[in-house]
Order: sequence, then structure tokens, then C-alpha cells
Amino acid sequence: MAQKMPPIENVGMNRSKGSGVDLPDSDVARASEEGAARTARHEEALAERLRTYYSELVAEPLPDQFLALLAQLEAMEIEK
Amino acid sequence: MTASLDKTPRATVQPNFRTALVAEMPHLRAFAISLCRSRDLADDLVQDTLVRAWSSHASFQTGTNLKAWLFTILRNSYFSTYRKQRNEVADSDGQIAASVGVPAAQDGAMAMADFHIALAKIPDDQREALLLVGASGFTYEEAAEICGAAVGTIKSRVSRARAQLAKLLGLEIQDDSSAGPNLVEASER
Repeated sequence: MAQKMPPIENVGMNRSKGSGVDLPDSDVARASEEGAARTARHEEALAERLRTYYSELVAEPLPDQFLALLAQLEAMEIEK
Repeated sequence: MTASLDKTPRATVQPNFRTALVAEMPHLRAFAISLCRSRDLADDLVQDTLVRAWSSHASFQTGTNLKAWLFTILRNSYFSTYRKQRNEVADSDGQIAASVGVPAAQDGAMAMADFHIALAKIPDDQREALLLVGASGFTYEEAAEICGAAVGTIKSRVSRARAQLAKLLGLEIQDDSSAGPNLVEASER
């Protein structure tokens, strides 16, 4: 996204455009780029926390009851 | 049992079914804890799911997605029975932390502790959709099948879940949650 920057002498306040924002165009562009970068960072942080949360749960040792229950179910199966 | 045409007239549980069931246990438990927000209730829910899966294994078609089949049994059981029990318990952040086993508040674990608490606060259907798609590795289509909802509904729930989590955690993300088909969702409820 290499945006062509205007020549230095043309970088002025953009009041004339009626935007009401008293920032040089270059600052506006930088601010929105920084905003997009922060958004991307935050989205990655959220996704990463969800993955960490889930993988920590999956990695926990299983309660003994689970396998005991399966053994019980199997024993009933054999009796049938 | 009536005589069937397949080669296994007696519906015995196959060893590979058992092996596959054991392999999915950690995922079933992680999903159950996320839904129930209580380890005790989650362990009951998983065991209930195992019994149901075992007794209806004949209805499982080999070659189809066992994980999705098991998740469907678990979530149906949660929404039909366990949610009522769950809702009898009032939540505070401290109780959530204690019941879901939030990591001790050491340096570095704080962000995860906050995440556990935030996740417990969002609505059940949104948390479910987010977990299925964002953590358990299901596609939107599979998640829709598991939840018995439209794909658009699942997409909308995931978006809203992310937006709410971000808000609770003070993160700024692209919010496309209002773009989802909320009307579809509203008419389905």
C-alpha cells in the first residue's frame, strides 16, 4: 500500500476541504495507518488468547472417571 | 434389532469407535467447560455425552465426522438439561475464576485470567459459536450443523462474540458484527 505522498509544499492544513480536521494530510494518513496496525495487533491478540485458553484446557489430564466409565460401558457390552 | 443387510448384524461397539472416543475426550471436556463455566458440571456433561454416544453408536455412520457428532450430542445435552442447572448459580468474577480454574494471577497470567472471565460473560450461543469455529477447528458449515442453525447465524454469533470480548478486554478490533444477518437470528429465536 505505497501511497504516493504529495510534494512537501502541498502538505498543508486541510481546512479548505471542509473536513473540520485541522491535521496535515500526512498526519491523517499516519493516524489511520497506526489505527489499522493496532486493530490488526488486537485482533491477533484476541485470537491468540482464545487458542491459548483452549489448548490449555485440552492439555489438562483427564479425570479418571472418564476412562472408568468407558471400561464400565465396555463391560456391559460384553455381558450382553 | 431387525435383520440388517450390512455385515455386522450385532451392533457391537467397534474398538476403533472406542479409540476415537478416547481421542476426542480432551476436546469434549474443553468445550464442555467453556459452555458450563464449571468444571464439575462439565465433567458430568462429558460423562453423560459418553454414555449417550456409546448407546447410540449404531446411529453413527462410519466415515462421517465423529468429532462433530460427539459435539452435537454434548451441546444438545447442555442446552436441554445442563443450562438450567448452570443458571441457578449466580456469577461473580471471583466465582467464575474459581469454577473454571483461572490461572493464578501471576505476571503474564493476568491477560489469560481476564480472558477466562470475559469469555464466561458473553451469551451462551455466542460463546458456543466462537469456541466451535475459533478454537475447536470446525468450519462455519460444520458449526451450523452442530448447532442446528443457519451458517449466517453462526457467522453473526462469532462476530458478536469477538466484538463483545474485545470490548470487555479493552481491545480494538474490526467490528463487523452489525453486518451479520441479525434479522435471521431474531426470527429463528
